[in-house]
Amino acid sequence: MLVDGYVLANIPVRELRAEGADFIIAMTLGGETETGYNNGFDIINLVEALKYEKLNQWELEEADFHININIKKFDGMKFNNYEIAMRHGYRVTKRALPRLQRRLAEANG
Amino acid sequence: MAKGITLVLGGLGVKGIANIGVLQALVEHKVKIKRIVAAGIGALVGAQFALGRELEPLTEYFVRFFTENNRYLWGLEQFAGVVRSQKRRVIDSFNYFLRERLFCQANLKRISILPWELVEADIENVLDGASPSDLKIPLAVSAIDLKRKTEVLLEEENLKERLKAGIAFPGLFPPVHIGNRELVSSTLYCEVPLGMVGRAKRPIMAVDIPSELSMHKPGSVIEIMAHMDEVRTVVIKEKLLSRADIILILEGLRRFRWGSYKQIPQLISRARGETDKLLSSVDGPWKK
Repeated sequence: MLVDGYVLANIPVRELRAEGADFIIAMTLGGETETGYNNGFDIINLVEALKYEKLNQWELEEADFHININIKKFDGMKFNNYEIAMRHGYRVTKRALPRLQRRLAEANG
Repeated sequence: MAKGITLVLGGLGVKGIANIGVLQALVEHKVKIKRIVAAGIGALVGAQFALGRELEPLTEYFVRFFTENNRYLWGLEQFAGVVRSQKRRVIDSFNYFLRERLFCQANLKRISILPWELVEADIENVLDGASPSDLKIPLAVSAIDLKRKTEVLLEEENLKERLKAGIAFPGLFPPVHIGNRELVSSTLYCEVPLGMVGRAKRPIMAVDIPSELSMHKPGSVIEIMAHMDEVRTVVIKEKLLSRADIILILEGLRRFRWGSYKQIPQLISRARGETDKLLSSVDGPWKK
């Protein structure tokens, strides 16, 4: 029985490493998650979010480079925002390039 | 390194009561305990032991409490007319039980299924006026701080509030407010509360009372979600267990369910036997 792999690893770094990848760039699309709650379901979901973040954190620690594009301000249900989100991702990644190149140079000795 | 272990006790739901048997076996093997870290019902058991009190009265208390309150706790009357496979799932999975019970007209807007009034007097009775200075062994209770989104260890707080935070299962009891923290039990996060246990007080002995992952085909979205939650819990536990120096996996307790309140004496007895067997095969300076 298969479900989306995000359940355990939204950033499957260990799987890539096991397949032989020697330099892994992890991209995350995170931001601060909610801490408020209105009912018992919300509380269970907060605890689940914490587990999810912990699992992602462990994956990220194994990556060689990490770029986080904070798209929290974009509502995932408003599809007409996709171009703005893409431009935001492009800008953030471009800003990270010098740092990435330095890291690659270090990795290549 | 000071002699004695840091003992980490967990266990989901009623299975935390098995720690009574674990502690009895540790005493028989003269294992010196310098600190207890506990979560869930394991925190109540750990507190009784850390206060230097007998554990048998606690067994009687748990049997009486769950027998008297079982219909109210499990909400079994809600499941009258529910198909048998669904009932079985409720018994198999704590996470599914919580979601199933919250997902009804009566509970959908509530913070929790149960009020603190149900257990507050009992916690006071168990503590019998004890204060933190009465602890013979330091006791840290593991909880999740919802505001800071992190696991915390409660080591200085009032004992009653500490224990309430330990058993504040998300959705079952309301969060416990201590200072500006909003605390719930950490057992749904990880069954063995190792996340915040530092390496300074080694060796760390972790007691794993494993849960059985249900493998049958899910019949609803709630069931799929609950199953995913359980898979995450297992992976987190496996990762955190690597931080312990000595791991006692009570494999024989896997078949017991989170709500097996009718099997409390068997649960304790089995835990005692398994711990005894495991301790016979390990040695260290922490044995007196």
